[in-house]
Amino acid sequence: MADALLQAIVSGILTGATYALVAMGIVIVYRSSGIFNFAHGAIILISAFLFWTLVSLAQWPLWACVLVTLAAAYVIGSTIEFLAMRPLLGQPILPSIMMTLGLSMLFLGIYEVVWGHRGPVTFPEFMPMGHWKVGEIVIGQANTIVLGSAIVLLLLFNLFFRFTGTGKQVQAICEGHIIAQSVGIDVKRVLSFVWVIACVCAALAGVLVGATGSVGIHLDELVFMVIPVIILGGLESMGGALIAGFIVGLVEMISATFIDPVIGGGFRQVAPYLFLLIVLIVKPYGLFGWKRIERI
Amino acid sequence: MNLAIPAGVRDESYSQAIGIVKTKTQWVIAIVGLIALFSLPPFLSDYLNNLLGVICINMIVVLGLNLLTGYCGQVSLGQSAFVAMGAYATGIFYATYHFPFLVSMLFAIVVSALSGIIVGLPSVRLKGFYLALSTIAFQFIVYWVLFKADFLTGGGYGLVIPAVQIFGIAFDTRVKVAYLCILFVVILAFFAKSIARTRTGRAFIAVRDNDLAAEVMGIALTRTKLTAFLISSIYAGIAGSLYAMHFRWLMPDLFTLNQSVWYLAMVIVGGMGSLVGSILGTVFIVCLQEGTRVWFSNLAAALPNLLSVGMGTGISHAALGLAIVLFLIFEPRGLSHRWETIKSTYRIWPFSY
Repeated sequence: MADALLQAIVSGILTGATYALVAMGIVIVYRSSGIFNFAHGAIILISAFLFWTLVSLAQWPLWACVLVTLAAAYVIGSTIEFLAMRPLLGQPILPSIMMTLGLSMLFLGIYEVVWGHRGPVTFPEFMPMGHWKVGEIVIGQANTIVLGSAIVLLLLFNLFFRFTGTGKQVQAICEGHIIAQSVGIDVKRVLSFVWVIACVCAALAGVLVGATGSVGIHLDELVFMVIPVIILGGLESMGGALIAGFIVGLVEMISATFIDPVIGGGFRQVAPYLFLLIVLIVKPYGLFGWKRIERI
Repeated sequence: MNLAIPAGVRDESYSQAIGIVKTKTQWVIAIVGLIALFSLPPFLSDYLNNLLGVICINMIVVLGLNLLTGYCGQVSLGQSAFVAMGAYATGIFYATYHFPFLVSMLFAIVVSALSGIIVGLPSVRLKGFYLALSTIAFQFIVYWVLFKADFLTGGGYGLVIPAVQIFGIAFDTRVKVAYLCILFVVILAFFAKSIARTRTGRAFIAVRDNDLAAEVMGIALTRTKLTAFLISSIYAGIAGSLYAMHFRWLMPDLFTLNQSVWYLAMVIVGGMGSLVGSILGTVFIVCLQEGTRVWFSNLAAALPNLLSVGMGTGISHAALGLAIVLFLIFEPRGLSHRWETIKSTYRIWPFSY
């Protein structure tokens, strides 16, 4: 029993790291433009399959594959911002959110056309896939690498926001586009930069998460799996995403271990959402979200 | 610039001032339109009547959702869960417990109205996108419950509903079902228009534009938001009942988040805060979905070695997504805006403004 609980905690934290990695890319876009990017999962899917094509079919060296995938994400991000998001700047927010849903559908269609007939695939092993055993508890090495990358990414983001000019500008447009523009910040350029960062994050998540298991349509569903994480952490907080990722991972794994056997499976999928509803009632803006003060 | 009334028409009494239909021309258009609509189904094929029924059912949901999202500003991405509530409640009461159809419809409305109130409760404290995400959570939970409560809903095998009888008339052909759907759409569209013009509807608009200011002006914020949720879930419940009658086989997979997204797409493409927009948007999106599906399955059949079946659906998904993206880039204010532009151009022709 104690071992099962400990195992659930460890797997929960490792699962949570995946969620955090995905959530960060969504949070940075939400923070700076108020748009929840539903296309994030589809971008993860597309870049993971692009990486797979390069590394498995074209047999390129690993570093070249990673570089080309990240470069492709750069192009996707700046194209999305320039062609799709920029025309909607200054309009009500809902059409923009609808735009990300439309983009997600477009990318999924592209995935189905190009890679859909293959079903789930796996990358060739390039990360240690073994397990450490501590007593009875199994810790996957690849998952630990994901955890490490999530933490490193969060640290990098923090340094970037704190110490670079562009980072400060991103912080500034989070406060409000019009205010930022009036102090001389090129909001369009910064937004384009934000979308590029988000898409590069997505590509990174695609490669890392894909390496821990198989690569398939489930990568797209990650965007819905991380909704409880983002709400719990607060829609505007990157650090909150990491901590909330751990908590939601724990909730999921503990309910998978202890409640699923009782009611016959499947509770794992809804437990985070039930948890989300409770969080919303107790703490509507999550752990670290901004409660904006409104004036009339 | 309000061009709703032609020049020279003045209201001479209160009943005239609050009338929806103001001039003789409008009366003629309304009556001829209704007669045309109701004489349509017998001349259509079964396929087109089916499509007409689908359009009507979606339209009812979208009218309700527009009152919630377009008028009151509360985004809901869980609308198909309300439809599922209505559909399954109708199915269970009608098929399993053999209540009369109208009574089961009433039960369905009550069930979805209650769930609407429950989902609306967080809106008292939440704003903006937090609320939309909480409705997504509701959507997932309902989907899961539909699978799990298989003693009631039949789980993944689905729930089969016999042909509906109302007052001894069996609604067993597509034409009859289409008639009933049209009847409901006309009545509910009229209701929606009326609600939008009452004090409640104006309170919705005030809450959408700035809820803090609305509260300062003396609008009961909680009650208004909950009313919006209540009305939209009642609309979804009625649509769900018709859905059960129309498809006669309910599966959890018919009520996914994807469907909720499409309802929202219909509202946005039509134009938020415009009921004409809801009607145009629904027709546009349903025809677009059906058109791409038919066209690309024909294409896949014509070129079997070039396109596998999976590729055909992939291309149709990509085409749908691209259509939405392009539409939003070129007409972010929706079809109703374009409709208004066309109307005013017609009125003031040959002048440009």
